[in-house]
Amino acid sequence: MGPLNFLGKVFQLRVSRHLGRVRERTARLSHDSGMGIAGRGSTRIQRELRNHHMFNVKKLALSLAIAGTALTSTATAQVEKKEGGYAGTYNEGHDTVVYNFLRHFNFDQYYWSKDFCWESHNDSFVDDMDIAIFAGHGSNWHFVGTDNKGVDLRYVSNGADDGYGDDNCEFVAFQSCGVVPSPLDSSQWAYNWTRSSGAFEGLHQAMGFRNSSYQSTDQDVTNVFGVFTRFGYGVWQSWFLGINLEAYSYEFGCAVMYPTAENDTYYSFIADPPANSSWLKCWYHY
Amino acid sequence: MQLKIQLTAAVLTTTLFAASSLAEGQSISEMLEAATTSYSATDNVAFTPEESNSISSRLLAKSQLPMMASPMSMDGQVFFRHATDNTAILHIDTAGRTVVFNRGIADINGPESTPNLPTTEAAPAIAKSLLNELEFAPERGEEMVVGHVGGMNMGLQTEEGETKNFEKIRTVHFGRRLGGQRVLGRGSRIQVQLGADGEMRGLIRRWNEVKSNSIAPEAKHTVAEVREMVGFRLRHGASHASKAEFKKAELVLFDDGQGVIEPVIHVVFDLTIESETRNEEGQPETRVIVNPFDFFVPVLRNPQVELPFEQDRRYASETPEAAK
Repeated sequence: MGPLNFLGKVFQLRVSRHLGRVRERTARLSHDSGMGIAGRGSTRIQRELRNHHMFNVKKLALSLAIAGTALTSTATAQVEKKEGGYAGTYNEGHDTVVYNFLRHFNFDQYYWSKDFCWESHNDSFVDDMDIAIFAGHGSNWHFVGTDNKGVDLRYVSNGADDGYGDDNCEFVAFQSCGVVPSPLDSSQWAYNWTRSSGAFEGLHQAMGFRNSSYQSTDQDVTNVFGVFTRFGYGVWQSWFLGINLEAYSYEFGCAVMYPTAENDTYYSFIADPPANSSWLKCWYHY
Repeated sequence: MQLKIQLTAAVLTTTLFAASSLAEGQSISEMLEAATTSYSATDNVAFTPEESNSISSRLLAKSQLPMMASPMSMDGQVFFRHATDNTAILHIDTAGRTVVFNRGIADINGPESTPNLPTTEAAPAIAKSLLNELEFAPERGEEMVVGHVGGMNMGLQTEEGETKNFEKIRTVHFGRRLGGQRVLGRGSRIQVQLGADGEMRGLIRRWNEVKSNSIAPEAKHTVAEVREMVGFRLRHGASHASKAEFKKAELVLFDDGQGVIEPVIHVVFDLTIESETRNEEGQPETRVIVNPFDFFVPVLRNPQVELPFEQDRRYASETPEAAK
């Protein structure tokens, strides 16, 4: 088998996986529609959701067409990139905060955040993305969605879908108060991410704030984060750049990561870290 | 019913805010009276290619980093990339007159603190000296004030579960005061990051030179209008909360980074949010968190400054309650 055919096979496998996921997600969203995944009525996010379905159909068609011509794995990687954004409140502008990141990409998900996006069904939401971002209210390892249910990142692996990274996700960002504590804030700063019930299950980086983040700056922070991530600058470095460039000097960022993933960019990153590793690094403002 | 109770709490707090003469600061009428000046940029044009070249040349000569520029995008962004270090960057937003430089972490990411890191006390003077040397200091140096001296640390948890902390970078945040008033917003900010022996690790500059303009009394909102705007923002922003507690309101100047600096009132509330969260055993429990909620209210009836969330304010007013 020549290298081109081999790459074509790999691509077809990826497309099959993608097709399965689209079917699964479509089924789940149909099921969840009764639960009001993005609310009822004609909200902006619902329109995005409908567009998203259309987008997936188009994307799938494109994927199949490309597979037929056996393009290279580089093209595969570009098709496979997925971005998801989840807004934690309806009326406080967090949808804009999320969108200001997503708009720099051909994003895949833009939802009102519900607990199952991060917990029980995260393999169809957050962990189906390559990068996921949340904006809303939070506290240490904890944040609140539009269903008024909190997600405790110390225990997300207790659910059926485990934590993040066991499926797809490499990077998660939290535009929220205090979700990512530093060693100055808690002696558990690493353990609570890497414990068996924690969020790191192959995840590369998680980033956010170690103290309060302010709503008058957050929409600009995520915009800069999107610009520089899209450009190919380091992912957590893009997050810190957004804070340095747009936030108040008393808003302190924090990023935790598998140590050898600290130079990851969105387009060039290491192989997934082991799910059971307790090795963790952290960069933080003070 | 729950929404109604929450809104009632927010409205009640608004009423208290509006009726009081803000315990630790000025009353609304005093703030409106004190807002006498706005500012406009005198250099609000995009960097010319010559200016951009000069800026990049100065920074790259100082840092000695081998970086290559990508072609300028149609909206005037120029990115310089390091050949081997993804964490080093030079970015010039020519239209926004913004410069971002970071020499990356490749040489400082090891398990040791940076030697001879400038002290918190010494760092501002070193940073000012660097700004002068690189010709990035503002024309009127008295406007530039130290806002915060902090930095960036690295923590490492070993496989054995031991945590070590390392000091890596010292950062000096410069802000601005005009006519005695604090300037907030996207503009009027300079940040210098320092490393070993005070070497330049990073720099951010978004700063326009400005001229002052007097504000006519009739150009300003009334107290009632300010109260209404605070109430509107709070009703929407705090509808998620079980309690909204007023923290402060301060007359400041807002720099939108696009050449306009105008007086605004910066309002901060603390929101109490209750949620049902699953604990370690998977059982539901109620968590209570308190997060700040802040926003700006324009003093001028026809503000030229672009404030955060104006777009959302329009969106929120158009979104039917039934859709939520």
